[in-house]
Amino acid sequence: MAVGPRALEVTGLHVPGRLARAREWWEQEHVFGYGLIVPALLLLTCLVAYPFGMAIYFSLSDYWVGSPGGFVGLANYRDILANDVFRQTIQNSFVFTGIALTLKTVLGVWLALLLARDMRFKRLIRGAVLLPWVIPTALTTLGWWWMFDSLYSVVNWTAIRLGILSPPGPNWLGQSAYAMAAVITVNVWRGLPFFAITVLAGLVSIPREFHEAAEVDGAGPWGRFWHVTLPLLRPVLAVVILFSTIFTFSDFNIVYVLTRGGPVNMTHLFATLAYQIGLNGGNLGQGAAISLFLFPLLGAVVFLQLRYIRKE
Amino acid sequence: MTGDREVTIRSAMFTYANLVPFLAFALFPFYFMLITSLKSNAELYNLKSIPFAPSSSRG
Repeated sequence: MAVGPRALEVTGLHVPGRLARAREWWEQEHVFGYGLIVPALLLLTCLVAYPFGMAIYFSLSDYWVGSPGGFVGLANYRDILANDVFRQTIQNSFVFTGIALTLKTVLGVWLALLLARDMRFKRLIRGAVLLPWVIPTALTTLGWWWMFDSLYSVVNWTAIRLGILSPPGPNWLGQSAYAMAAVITVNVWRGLPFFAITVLAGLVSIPREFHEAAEVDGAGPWGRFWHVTLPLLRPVLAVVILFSTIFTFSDFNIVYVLTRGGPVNMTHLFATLAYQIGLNGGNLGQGAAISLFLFPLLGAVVFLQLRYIRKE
Repeated sequence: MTGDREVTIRSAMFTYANLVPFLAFALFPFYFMLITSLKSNAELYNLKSIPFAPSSSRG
Protein backbone atom coordinates (compact mmCIF):
# COMPACT_ATOMS: atom_id res chain seq x y z
CA MET A 1 0.00 0.00 0.00
CA ALA A 2 1.36 3.41 -0.93
CA VAL A 3 1.52 5.17 2.40
CA GLY A 4 3.56 8.16 1.32
CA PRO A 5 1.18 10.53 -0.50
CA ARG A 6 -1.67 10.04 1.93
CA ALA A 7 0.52 10.71 4.92
CA LEU A 8 1.73 13.88 3.26
CA GLU A 9 -1.83 15.04 2.59
CA VAL A 10 -2.80 14.57 6.20
CA THR A 11 0.03 16.73 7.42
CA GLY A 12 -0.95 19.34 4.87
CA LEU A 13 2.50 19.42 3.35
CA HIS A 14 1.89 19.33 -0.38
CA VAL A 15 5.33 19.32 -1.92
CA PRO A 16 5.23 18.10 -5.52
CA GLY A 17 9.00 18.33 -5.85
CA ARG A 18 11.28 15.80 -7.49
CA LEU A 19 12.21 14.30 -4.14
CA ALA A 20 8.57 13.73 -3.24
CA ARG A 21 7.92 12.03 -6.56
CA ALA A 22 10.94 9.76 -6.09
CA ARG A 23 9.68 8.94 -2.67
CA GLU A 24 6.21 8.19 -3.96
CA TRP A 25 7.67 5.85 -6.52
CA TRP A 26 9.83 4.13 -3.88
CA GLU A 27 6.94 3.64 -1.50
CA GLN A 28 4.83 1.71 -3.96
CA GLU A 29 4.41 -1.82 -2.69
CA HIS A 30 5.86 -3.62 -5.66
CA VAL A 31 8.97 -1.41 -5.60
CA PHE A 32 9.51 -1.17 -1.87
CA GLY A 33 8.91 -4.89 -1.30
CA TYR A 34 11.55 -5.90 -3.81
CA GLY A 35 13.84 -3.20 -2.46
CA LEU A 36 13.67 -4.86 0.92
CA ILE A 37 14.63 -8.31 -0.26
CA VAL A 38 17.45 -7.18 -2.56
CA PRO A 39 20.15 -7.24 0.17
CA ALA A 40 19.26 -10.78 1.21
CA LEU A 41 19.04 -11.84 -2.41
CA LEU A 42 22.44 -10.31 -3.16
CA LEU A 43 24.00 -12.12 -0.23
CA LEU A 44 22.46 -15.45 -1.26
CA THR A 45 23.57 -14.97 -4.85
CA CYS A 46 27.16 -14.20 -3.91
CA LEU A 47 27.56 -16.73 -1.10
CA VAL A 48 25.35 -19.64 -2.19
CA ALA A 49 24.30 -19.50 -5.82
CA TYR A 50 27.64 -18.37 -7.26
CA PRO A 51 29.80 -21.01 -5.50
CA PHE A 52 27.22 -23.66 -6.32
CA GLY A 53 27.25 -22.67 -9.99
CA MET A 54 31.04 -22.65 -9.98
CA ALA A 55 31.09 -26.12 -8.38
CA ILE A 56 28.82 -27.45 -11.11
CA TYR A 57 31.03 -25.89 -13.76
CA PHE A 58 34.21 -27.26 -12.14
CA SER A 59 32.75 -30.75 -11.92
CA LEU A 60 32.18 -30.69 -15.69
CA SER A 61 35.68 -29.46 -16.53
CA ASP A 62 39.22 -30.72 -16.14
CA TYR A 63 40.18 -27.76 -14.01
CA TRP A 64 43.37 -28.20 -11.97
CA VAL A 65 44.89 -25.76 -9.54
CA GLY A 66 46.87 -23.40 -11.75
CA SER A 67 45.47 -24.57 -15.07
CA PRO A 68 42.10 -23.39 -16.32
CA GLY A 69 40.89 -26.54 -18.01
CA GLY A 70 38.19 -27.01 -20.60
CA PHE A 71 34.75 -28.54 -20.60
CA VAL A 72 34.87 -32.34 -20.43
CA GLY A 73 31.24 -33.27 -19.83
CA LEU A 74 30.60 -36.07 -17.39
CA ALA A 75 34.13 -37.52 -17.55
CA ASN A 76 34.85 -36.61 -13.91
CA TYR A 77 31.79 -38.47 -12.72
CA ARG A 78 32.75 -41.50 -14.79
CA ASP A 79 36.25 -41.41 -13.33
CA ILE A 80 35.20 -41.18 -9.71
CA LEU A 81 32.64 -43.95 -10.13
CA ALA A 82 35.41 -46.20 -11.44
CA ASN A 83 37.61 -45.26 -8.48
CA ASP A 84 37.75 -47.86 -5.68
CA VAL A 85 38.42 -45.22 -3.02
CA PHE A 86 35.29 -43.38 -4.06
CA ARG A 87 33.19 -46.53 -3.91
CA GLN A 88 34.56 -47.21 -0.46
CA THR A 89 33.62 -43.64 0.44
CA ILE A 90 30.02 -44.17 -0.65
CA GLN A 91 29.85 -47.26 1.53
CA ASN A 92 31.49 -45.44 4.45
CA SER A 93 29.07 -42.55 4.17
CA PHE A 94 26.05 -44.81 4.35
CA VAL A 95 27.42 -46.84 7.26
CA PHE A 96 28.44 -43.67 9.09
CA THR A 97 25.17 -41.83 8.51
CA GLY A 98 22.97 -44.87 9.09
CA ILE A 99 24.48 -45.87 12.43
CA ALA A 100 25.06 -42.34 13.73
CA LEU A 101 21.56 -41.21 12.80
CA THR A 102 19.89 -44.25 14.38
CA LEU A 103 21.85 -43.79 17.61
CA LYS A 104 21.16 -40.08 17.70
CA THR A 105 17.44 -40.56 17.11
CA VAL A 106 16.93 -43.28 19.72
CA LEU A 107 19.20 -41.77 22.37
CA GLY A 108 17.98 -38.26 21.58
CA VAL A 109 14.32 -39.14 22.15
CA TRP A 110 15.24 -41.02 25.33
CA LEU A 111 17.29 -38.09 26.62
CA ALA A 112 14.52 -35.63 25.74
CA LEU A 113 11.98 -37.71 27.68
CA LEU A 114 14.29 -37.65 30.69
CA LEU A 115 14.94 -33.93 30.43
CA ALA A 116 11.21 -33.22 30.19
CA ARG A 117 10.61 -34.66 33.65
CA ASP A 118 10.38 -32.42 36.66
CA MET A 119 13.56 -32.46 38.68
CA ARG A 120 16.05 -30.35 40.56
CA PHE A 121 18.91 -28.67 38.71
CA LYS A 122 16.82 -28.92 35.53
CA ARG A 123 18.43 -25.93 33.87
CA LEU A 124 21.92 -26.93 34.90
CA ILE A 125 21.45 -30.42 33.49
CA ARG A 126 19.96 -29.13 30.24
CA GLY A 127 22.86 -26.73 29.87
CA ALA A 128 25.42 -29.44 30.52
CA VAL A 129 23.83 -31.73 27.97
CA LEU A 130 23.93 -28.98 25.37
CA LEU A 131 27.64 -28.28 25.86
CA PRO A 132 29.10 -30.61 23.19
CA TRP A 133 26.97 -28.91 20.58
CA VAL A 134 28.06 -25.40 21.51
CA ILE A 135 31.84 -25.74 21.52
CA PRO A 136 33.54 -25.71 18.09
CA THR A 137 33.77 -29.25 16.76
CA ALA A 138 37.33 -29.01 15.51
CA LEU A 139 38.55 -28.23 19.03
CA THR A 140 36.59 -30.84 20.92
CA THR A 141 37.50 -33.42 18.31
CA LEU A 142 41.16 -32.75 19.08
CA GLY A 143 40.35 -33.75 22.67
CA TRP A 144 38.74 -36.94 21.41
CA TRP A 145 41.78 -37.57 19.24
CA TRP A 146 43.96 -37.69 22.34
CA MET A 147 41.39 -39.90 24.08
CA PHE A 148 41.60 -42.36 21.19
CA ASP A 149 45.41 -42.24 20.96
CA SER A 150 46.97 -45.57 20.07
CA LEU A 151 49.18 -45.80 23.17
CA TYR A 152 47.82 -43.33 25.71
CA SER A 153 44.09 -43.78 25.13
CA VAL A 154 42.15 -43.11 28.30
CA VAL A 155 39.34 -45.28 26.93
CA ASN A 156 41.63 -48.28 26.74
CA TRP A 157 43.26 -47.49 30.07
CA THR A 158 39.88 -47.49 31.81
CA ALA A 159 38.59 -50.58 30.06
CA ILE A 160 41.77 -52.50 30.87
CA ARG A 161 41.65 -51.49 34.54
CA LEU A 162 38.01 -52.56 34.69
CA GLY A 163 38.94 -55.85 33.08
CA ILE A 164 36.73 -55.34 30.02
CA LEU A 165 39.60 -55.36 27.54
CA SER A 166 42.83 -57.24 27.58
CA PRO A 167 45.91 -55.02 27.21
CA PRO A 168 46.96 -53.36 24.86
CA GLY A 169 43.35 -52.83 23.74
CA PRO A 170 42.18 -51.77 20.29
CA ASN A 171 44.10 -49.23 18.26
CA TRP A 172 41.10 -46.95 17.84
CA LEU A 173 42.21 -44.82 14.96
CA GLY A 174 44.42 -47.39 13.30
CA GLN A 175 42.02 -50.26 12.55
CA SER A 176 39.21 -49.69 10.11
CA ALA A 177 36.23 -50.95 12.14
CA TYR A 178 37.43 -49.26 15.33
CA ALA A 179 38.18 -46.05 13.48
CA MET A 180 34.65 -46.00 12.10
CA ALA A 181 33.30 -46.66 15.59
CA ALA A 182 35.39 -43.79 16.96
CA VAL A 183 34.23 -41.37 14.29
CA ILE A 184 30.59 -42.38 14.85
CA THR A 185 30.98 -42.00 18.62
CA VAL A 186 32.23 -38.46 18.28
CA ASN A 187 29.49 -37.62 15.79
CA VAL A 188 26.83 -38.97 18.15
CA TRP A 189 28.42 -37.12 21.07
CA ARG A 190 28.31 -33.91 19.11
CA GLY A 191 24.88 -34.36 17.48
CA LEU A 192 22.91 -35.74 20.42
CA PRO A 193 22.19 -32.36 22.08
CA PHE A 194 20.61 -31.05 18.90
CA PHE A 195 18.22 -33.99 18.85
CA ALA A 196 17.51 -33.89 22.56
CA ILE A 197 16.78 -30.19 22.76
CA THR A 198 14.65 -30.06 19.61
CA VAL A 199 12.64 -33.13 20.60
CA LEU A 200 12.31 -31.64 24.07
CA ALA A 201 10.72 -28.56 22.53
CA GLY A 202 8.32 -30.88 20.70
CA LEU A 203 7.54 -32.76 23.92
CA VAL A 204 6.77 -29.60 25.86
CA SER A 205 4.24 -28.55 23.23
CA ILE A 206 2.18 -31.73 23.71
CA PRO A 207 -0.81 -30.86 25.93
CA ARG A 208 -0.78 -32.62 29.28
CA GLU A 209 -4.45 -33.56 28.93
CA PHE A 210 -3.63 -36.11 26.24
CA HIS A 211 -1.45 -38.06 28.64
CA GLU A 212 -3.98 -37.77 31.42
CA ALA A 213 -6.76 -38.97 29.15
CA ALA A 214 -4.66 -41.92 28.02
CA GLU A 215 -3.83 -42.72 31.63
CA VAL A 216 -7.50 -42.69 32.57
CA ASP A 217 -8.15 -45.05 29.69
CA GLY A 218 -5.64 -47.44 31.21
CA ALA A 219 -2.54 -46.89 29.10
CA GLY A 220 0.79 -47.71 30.79
CA PRO A 221 3.93 -45.61 30.35
CA TRP A 222 4.96 -47.56 27.26
CA GLY A 223 1.50 -47.35 25.72
CA ARG A 224 1.34 -43.63 26.36
CA PHE A 225 4.71 -43.15 24.70
CA TRP A 226 3.90 -45.31 21.72
CA HIS A 227 0.34 -44.14 21.04
CA VAL A 228 0.35 -40.53 22.29
CA THR A 229 3.84 -39.06 22.49
CA LEU A 230 5.42 -40.58 19.41
CA PRO A 231 2.64 -39.77 16.91
CA LEU A 232 2.53 -36.18 18.15
CA LEU A 233 6.30 -35.91 17.94
CA ARG A 234 6.41 -37.13 14.38
CA PRO A 235 6.49 -33.71 12.65
CA VAL A 236 9.30 -32.49 14.89
CA LEU A 237 11.21 -35.74 14.50
CA ALA A 238 10.87 -35.60 10.72
CA VAL A 239 12.43 -32.14 10.58
CA VAL A 240 15.25 -33.01 13.00
CA ILE A 241 16.07 -36.19 11.14
CA LEU A 242 16.04 -34.29 7.85
CA PHE A 243 18.54 -31.73 9.12
CA SER A 244 20.69 -34.31 10.79
CA THR A 245 20.79 -36.49 7.68
CA ILE A 246 22.18 -33.60 5.70
CA PHE A 247 24.71 -32.56 8.34
CA THR A 248 25.85 -36.10 9.03
CA PHE A 249 26.28 -36.98 5.37
CA SER A 250 28.33 -33.87 4.75
CA ASP A 251 30.36 -34.09 7.96
CA PHE A 252 33.93 -32.95 7.55
CA ASN A 253 35.47 -31.73 10.81
CA ILE A 254 35.30 -34.91 12.83
CA VAL A 255 36.73 -37.24 10.23
CA TYR A 256 39.35 -34.75 9.13
CA VAL A 257 40.68 -34.16 12.62
CA LEU A 258 40.42 -37.73 13.92
CA THR A 259 41.54 -39.92 11.04
CA ARG A 260 42.02 -37.83 7.88
CA GLY A 261 39.99 -40.50 6.15
CA GLY A 262 42.38 -43.28 7.16
CA PRO A 263 43.22 -46.04 7.88
CA VAL A 264 43.47 -46.83 4.14
CA ASN A 265 40.49 -44.62 3.26
CA MET A 266 38.15 -46.63 5.47
CA THR A 267 36.59 -43.59 7.13
CA HIS A 268 36.58 -41.16 4.20
CA LEU A 269 33.30 -39.33 3.71
CA PHE A 270 32.33 -37.32 0.65
CA ALA A 271 33.51 -34.02 2.09
CA THR A 272 36.91 -35.27 3.26
CA LEU A 273 37.59 -37.12 0.03
CA ALA A 274 36.56 -34.08 -2.01
CA TYR A 275 38.93 -31.98 0.08
CA GLN A 276 41.79 -34.41 -0.34
CA ILE A 277 41.41 -34.82 -4.09
CA GLY A 278 40.24 -31.31 -4.94
CA LEU A 279 42.37 -29.13 -2.69
CA ASN A 280 45.27 -31.25 -1.43
CA GLY A 281 45.58 -33.11 -4.73
CA GLY A 282 44.77 -30.09 -6.87
CA ASN A 283 42.26 -31.87 -9.07
CA LEU A 284 39.46 -29.36 -8.64
CA GLY A 285 37.26 -30.96 -11.30
CA GLN A 286 37.13 -34.33 -9.59
CA GLY A 287 36.85 -32.78 -6.15
CA ALA A 288 33.82 -30.81 -7.25
CA ALA A 289 32.32 -33.92 -8.82
CA ILE A 290 32.73 -35.81 -5.53
CA SER A 291 31.12 -33.10 -3.45
CA LEU A 292 28.27 -32.71 -5.93
CA PHE A 293 27.69 -36.44 -5.96
CA LEU A 294 25.82 -35.84 -2.72
CA PHE A 295 23.53 -33.30 -4.24
CA PRO A 296 20.96 -35.47 -6.08
CA LEU A 297 21.03 -37.89 -3.16
CA LEU A 298 20.32 -35.27 -0.53
CA GLY A 299 17.89 -33.55 -2.88
CA ALA A 300 15.87 -36.76 -3.05
CA VAL A 301 15.95 -37.15 0.75
CA VAL A 302 14.82 -33.56 1.28
CA PHE A 303 12.07 -33.90 -1.31
CA LEU A 304 10.66 -37.09 0.23
CA GLN A 305 10.82 -35.79 3.78
CA LEU A 306 9.29 -32.43 2.99
CA ARG A 307 6.47 -34.13 1.15
CA TYR A 308 5.96 -36.39 4.14
CA ILE A 309 5.90 -33.43 6.53
CA ARG A 310 3.40 -31.55 4.39
CA LYS A 311 1.14 -34.58 4.28
CA GLU A 312 1.09 -34.58 8.08
CA MET B 1 0.26 -39.85 51.12
CA THR B 2 3.35 -41.87 51.98
CA GLY B 3 2.68 -44.10 48.98
CA ASP B 4 2.55 -41.08 46.68
CA ARG B 5 5.77 -39.76 48.11
CA GLU B 6 7.48 -43.06 47.58
CA VAL B 7 6.38 -43.13 43.94
CA THR B 8 7.72 -39.60 43.43
CA ILE B 9 11.07 -40.45 44.97
CA ARG B 10 11.36 -43.60 42.93
CA SER B 11 10.50 -41.70 39.77
CA ALA B 12 13.11 -39.03 40.53
CA MET B 13 15.74 -41.68 41.22
CA PHE B 14 14.90 -43.34 37.92
CA THR B 15 15.33 -40.03 36.10
CA TYR B 16 18.69 -39.24 37.69
CA ALA B 17 20.01 -42.75 37.28
CA ASN B 18 19.22 -42.59 33.58
CA LEU B 19 20.64 -39.11 33.15
CA VAL B 20 23.99 -39.99 34.70
CA PRO B 21 25.34 -41.93 31.68
CA PHE B 22 24.26 -39.14 29.33
CA LEU B 23 25.90 -36.48 31.46
CA ALA B 24 29.06 -38.54 31.83
CA PHE B 25 29.22 -39.03 28.07
CA ALA B 26 28.62 -35.33 27.39
CA LEU B 27 30.96 -33.92 30.01
CA PHE B 28 33.82 -36.39 30.32
CA PRO B 29 35.70 -35.10 27.24
CA PHE B 30 35.65 -31.61 28.69
CA TYR B 31 36.92 -32.82 32.05
CA PHE B 32 39.60 -34.81 30.30
CA MET B 33 40.67 -31.85 28.16
CA LEU B 34 40.92 -29.71 31.28
CA ILE B 35 42.97 -32.32 33.15
CA THR B 36 45.21 -32.85 30.14
CA SER B 37 45.84 -29.14 29.82
CA LEU B 38 47.13 -29.02 33.40
CA LYS B 39 49.77 -31.71 33.02
CA SER B 40 53.32 -31.67 31.76
CA ASN B 41 54.20 -33.53 28.57
CA ALA B 42 56.38 -35.90 30.56
CA GLU B 43 53.40 -36.91 32.66
CA LEU B 44 51.11 -37.26 29.65
CA TYR B 45 53.55 -39.64 28.00
CA ASN B 46 54.10 -41.66 31.15
CA LEU B 47 52.21 -44.94 30.86
CA LYS B 48 52.26 -45.42 34.63
CA SER B 49 50.44 -42.20 35.52
CA ILE B 50 46.71 -42.20 36.04
CA PRO B 51 45.13 -40.34 33.13
CA PHE B 52 42.02 -39.14 35.04
CA ALA B 53 43.64 -37.74 38.12
CA PRO B 54 44.95 -34.21 38.41
CA SER B 55 48.68 -33.86 38.21
CA SER B 56 50.60 -35.38 41.10
CA SER B 57 52.89 -33.01 42.96
CA ARG B 58 55.93 -35.13 42.15
CA GLY B 59 55.21 -34.67 38.42
